[in-house]
Amino acid sequence: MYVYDEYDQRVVAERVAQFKHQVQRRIDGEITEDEFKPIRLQNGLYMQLHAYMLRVAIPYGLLSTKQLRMLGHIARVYDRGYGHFSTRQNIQYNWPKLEEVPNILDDLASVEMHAIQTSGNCIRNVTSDHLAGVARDELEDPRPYCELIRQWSTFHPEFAFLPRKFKIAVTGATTDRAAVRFHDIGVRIVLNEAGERGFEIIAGGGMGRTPHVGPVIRSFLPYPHLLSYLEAILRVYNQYGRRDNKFKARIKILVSELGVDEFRSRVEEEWEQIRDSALLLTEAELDRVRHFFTPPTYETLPEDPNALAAATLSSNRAYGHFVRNNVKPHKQAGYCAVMISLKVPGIPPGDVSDTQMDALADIVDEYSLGELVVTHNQNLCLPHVRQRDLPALFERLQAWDFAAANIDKVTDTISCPGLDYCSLANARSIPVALAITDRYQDIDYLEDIGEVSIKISGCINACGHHHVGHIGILGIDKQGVEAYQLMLGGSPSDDASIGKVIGPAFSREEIVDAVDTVLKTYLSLRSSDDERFIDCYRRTGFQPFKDALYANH
Amino acid sequence: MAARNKGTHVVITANRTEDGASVYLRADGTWSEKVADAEIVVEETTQEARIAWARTQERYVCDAYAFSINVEAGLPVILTKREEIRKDGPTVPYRRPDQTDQTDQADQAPRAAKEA
Repeated sequence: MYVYDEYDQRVVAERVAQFKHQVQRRIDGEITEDEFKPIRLQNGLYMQLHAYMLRVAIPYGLLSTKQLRMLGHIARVYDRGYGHFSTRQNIQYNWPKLEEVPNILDDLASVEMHAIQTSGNCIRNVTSDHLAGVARDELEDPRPYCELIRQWSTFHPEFAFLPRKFKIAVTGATTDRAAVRFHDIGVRIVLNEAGERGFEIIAGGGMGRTPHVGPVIRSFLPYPHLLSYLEAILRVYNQYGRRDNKFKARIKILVSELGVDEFRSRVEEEWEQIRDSALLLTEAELDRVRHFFTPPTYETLPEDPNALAAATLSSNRAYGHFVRNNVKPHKQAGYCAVMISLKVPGIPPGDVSDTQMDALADIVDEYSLGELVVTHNQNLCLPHVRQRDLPALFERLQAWDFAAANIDKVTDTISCPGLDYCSLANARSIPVALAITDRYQDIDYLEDIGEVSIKISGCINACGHHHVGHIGILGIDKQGVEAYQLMLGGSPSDDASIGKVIGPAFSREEIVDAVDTVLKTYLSLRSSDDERFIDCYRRTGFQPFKDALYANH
Repeated sequence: MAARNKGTHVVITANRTEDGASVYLRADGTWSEKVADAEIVVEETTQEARIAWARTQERYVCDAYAFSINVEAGLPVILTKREEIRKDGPTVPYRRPDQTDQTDQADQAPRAAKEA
């Protein structure tokens, strides 16, 4: 993974020192909250309903065990013993005290981490495929490009005060696991007809109150021009993006209002001015960054194509389900990637305790060559596991409540913090997620239902990605009472689609039963056991689901 | 859950600068973590003046505002889930049970910790 050089370390250290001074001035009353607010936001510090919240960047979700141990240390010393992994592959602490935040940032800097640009109207943490570097369907590891984008965008003087926040995702695989169609900019590594490497550039996607599937604005961009092209897009957005209305300020609105062709034309015109500037990416520079992402030294192991399939039939049924649902193929023979679900009964999705982080760091050192990845589904991934180690690893994970075998199943919900924490929320999300988890604890029933994603947001800002859930749930406020809209048919992947609201909202007491009705309707409608929920829904349309939901409503 | 009917009175609340905790303005101008201690203000008479005064306390509190309440037995009754959660903390557990540390789970209830 990327290692800070002397310059990186100095920049981060100077930023911490600067913020320490600013915090002290706020505490001493030398600056007002209005003056302090933009400063704290630029350092990742929010004010939530009943406490501060510090969001720490985890670039493209990649963590070393040294960093993971430090995250556990921070949870233990400065917070209430836990951290919350978010849908942007970051971690959030919900209870920091203001005067201690600079100490947290000092500790983060000691392991090459920070909270810079995790808030505010700037370019946020770049996200990627959680299987980057190990996926079998990968054309090229996207993380060197993510790192180049991170370096380019950090403290970029032109883009510190954009009309709104700006999110970029990069994938190098043929299957989109990074939701690139729902980002301000999505980047896909592709090959052209001559076999040359380049990028497909998508712009103007997003969720929030007006969801858009991002259109392709350039089908092939030669790789040396990545940064100059991104800069051209940002310049056009910075110049023409709306600043008069916060709700219409994202790039998706600009692309929509201008039209894709006009937006593309302006970008291309801007790009012509800078395409051969200092931003031109040389093979030497790319190699310099690639060096940090050299694959680890794998053992030479035999590839037994039947080994994993056989493991799913283990007499240890819990282990069999775990291998079936949580173990993913790896490009290296004899290895696999192992998903850790953070969706277990009674625990908010994405929460991990300090001692779990410590224990997991030991497990990752022992079984995954010291690397861990945070996924945008609020789960974790051990990317380098020897297949032969799976039984022992499973036992270790079980001991720490990390072995729930529900990846991509009904209980693998995404949930924003909702009204339990967030000052923007209209309704609670986490209790709905927990109720769904409690309802579906029969693993055989989960397996029967198959792949279904449920995504829950507590407000229209869509941090819980409800628009792209196969089943999406949006919390709303109906005259002071929490209510929940149900939508069906969303997908964040290659079959990108936005869910459709199916009818009037349900009460807190009704919403889990409504989900159950949708699932039972699916089971009655599917053409075979292999027809996934989303495919069944697309085949039948929403009417049979609506009929079932509102027959007695 | 109670609907957000407009209450008969308001109280003034803010977040404490030190830690972001929800606090309520007492009649003597100090701030309490307990809504029961809050000054009950008759709506649209002294409300604006009390908010304006609260905003002069920015060194200690942030983003002061008024919210509607009813009054029963002389005590404020909160009318929205949002203000209930601001008062009591999250309604969900906020710490994951650990295999090695099961002893203090009762102490980890959010509301207990919130009041600590």
